[in-house]
Amino acid sequence: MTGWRVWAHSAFYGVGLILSSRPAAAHLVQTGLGPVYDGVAHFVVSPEYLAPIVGAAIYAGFGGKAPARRAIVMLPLFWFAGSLLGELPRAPPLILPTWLVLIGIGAFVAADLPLPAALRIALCSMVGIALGYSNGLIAAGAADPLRSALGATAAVFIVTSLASAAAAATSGWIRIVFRVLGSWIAASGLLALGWALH
Amino acid sequence: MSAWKLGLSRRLIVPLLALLLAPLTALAHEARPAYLAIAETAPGQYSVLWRTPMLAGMRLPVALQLPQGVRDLRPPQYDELAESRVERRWIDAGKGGLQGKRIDFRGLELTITDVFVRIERLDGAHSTEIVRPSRPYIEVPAPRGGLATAQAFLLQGVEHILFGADHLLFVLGLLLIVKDRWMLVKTITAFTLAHSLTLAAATLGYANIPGPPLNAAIALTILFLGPEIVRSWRGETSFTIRHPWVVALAFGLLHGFGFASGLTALGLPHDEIPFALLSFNVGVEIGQLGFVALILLLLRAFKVLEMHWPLWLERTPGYIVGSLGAFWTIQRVMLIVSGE
Repeated sequence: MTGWRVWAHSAFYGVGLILSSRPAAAHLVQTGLGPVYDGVAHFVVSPEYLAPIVGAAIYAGFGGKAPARRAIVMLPLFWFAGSLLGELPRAPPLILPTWLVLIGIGAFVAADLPLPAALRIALCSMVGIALGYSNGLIAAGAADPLRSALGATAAVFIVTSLASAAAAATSGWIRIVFRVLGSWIAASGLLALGWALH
Repeated sequence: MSAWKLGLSRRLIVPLLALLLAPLTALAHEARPAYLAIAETAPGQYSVLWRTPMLAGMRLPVALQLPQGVRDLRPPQYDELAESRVERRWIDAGKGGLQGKRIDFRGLELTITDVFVRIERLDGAHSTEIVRPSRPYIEVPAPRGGLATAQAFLLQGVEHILFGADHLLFVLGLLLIVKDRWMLVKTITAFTLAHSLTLAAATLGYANIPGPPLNAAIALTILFLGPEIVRSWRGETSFTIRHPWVVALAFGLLHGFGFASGLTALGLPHDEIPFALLSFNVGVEIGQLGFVALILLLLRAFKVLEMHWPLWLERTPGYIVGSLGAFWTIQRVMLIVSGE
């Protein structure tokens, strides 16, 4: 798949996911250490962001070193782009349903679907822009949204690097451990769905 | 990449990074907390010491607001010291005392500073709490014991190093120079030993360096690493590249005085200092080792994935160390010269 198609896929699915969202109602974590650390902390202590990013990075790593390398660049890049969009003054206040993201990513990892590298990257980019957008909506209320977004993006970069490298370097039973982790992500999505229906 | 492109990238990247990191210049080393000490002197009566740090002649804009119904037993006293403003009050909080009542720190939410609150009861029991800008008040708790106090100082130590961008940049600079694992262990150990030594000496009152020259000297240690990193890239050698642990040991002594500012500014009671020092230092080490571990893990991840970054991007961390070291040095020397 050519480069522009990957971008087109990412944009199409990302916009689709954003349009299937619900209104935002959350606040940025305040560490008292400034906006960069607030951005980092918000990402790290929010399972609805952390788990899908870890899942997407693992799934990219399952495809080998080449997709993992591209995920390290694309996922944070799209996250940052999404954050900037979300921080725009008139950005529609929509956030993806947590259960949908968790079930989707968790299922991909658990099933270890043998998709081409380009589609894995498209998935990462899509997750990045959609979650980054919702993070941007929340960060928009912060004192310094740009630096919050930079902090969160740095955290996404670090988590993506570590998770995708760990997944790319493993095989055999350790890969199964990662797939089990994927099933837990999906299971937590089902719990979130149950809670949403409740 | 051509030399021209590399040069252009440097010219673009460094100012851009400087712009993004500029706010850190105001933060490095200036995260000194405020301090509130409340000691019960008779049932329901207290002496209150409220110390707020001064920076460049400006007082931290945080006001202490005691619970309603509290009355002064005698007029408050105010002292302007070199690095802090001290307010002393003697209050009567009524029969129930202060326990369970709320003390507000108005304006704290607009700062990046914490407030240490030490409360001592009539029976000698005491506790220490940290109040943060995200929750700028405290409900005076019942005594919680030593473990909670240790936790408070440990967290302050972790925060102090994670927030002290200059310390982290110095450690990053060392990591960029160090060539092998054994040298890394020696260098980090030397830095730890050195800064622990001066942290203890400064906190216990055996040694002291005034804040402005100390901050300038710390900035100079970071600037010093910049050219060494460039030499390392070029494959050249120097004393620092061959023996980075010696530099870590020598400059670590200065950084220890910097760490001490996080504790000495509090003016803790003498008997609490050793315990606070130990917890705080453990916190600093946890923060430092966490940072080193994170960098090493990232490098390992890039190696596993055979990442090949563009040269300008690969060298950006080195440029950040050198540029910010230079910026801070100039800025802090100017502060000394201007007498602020």
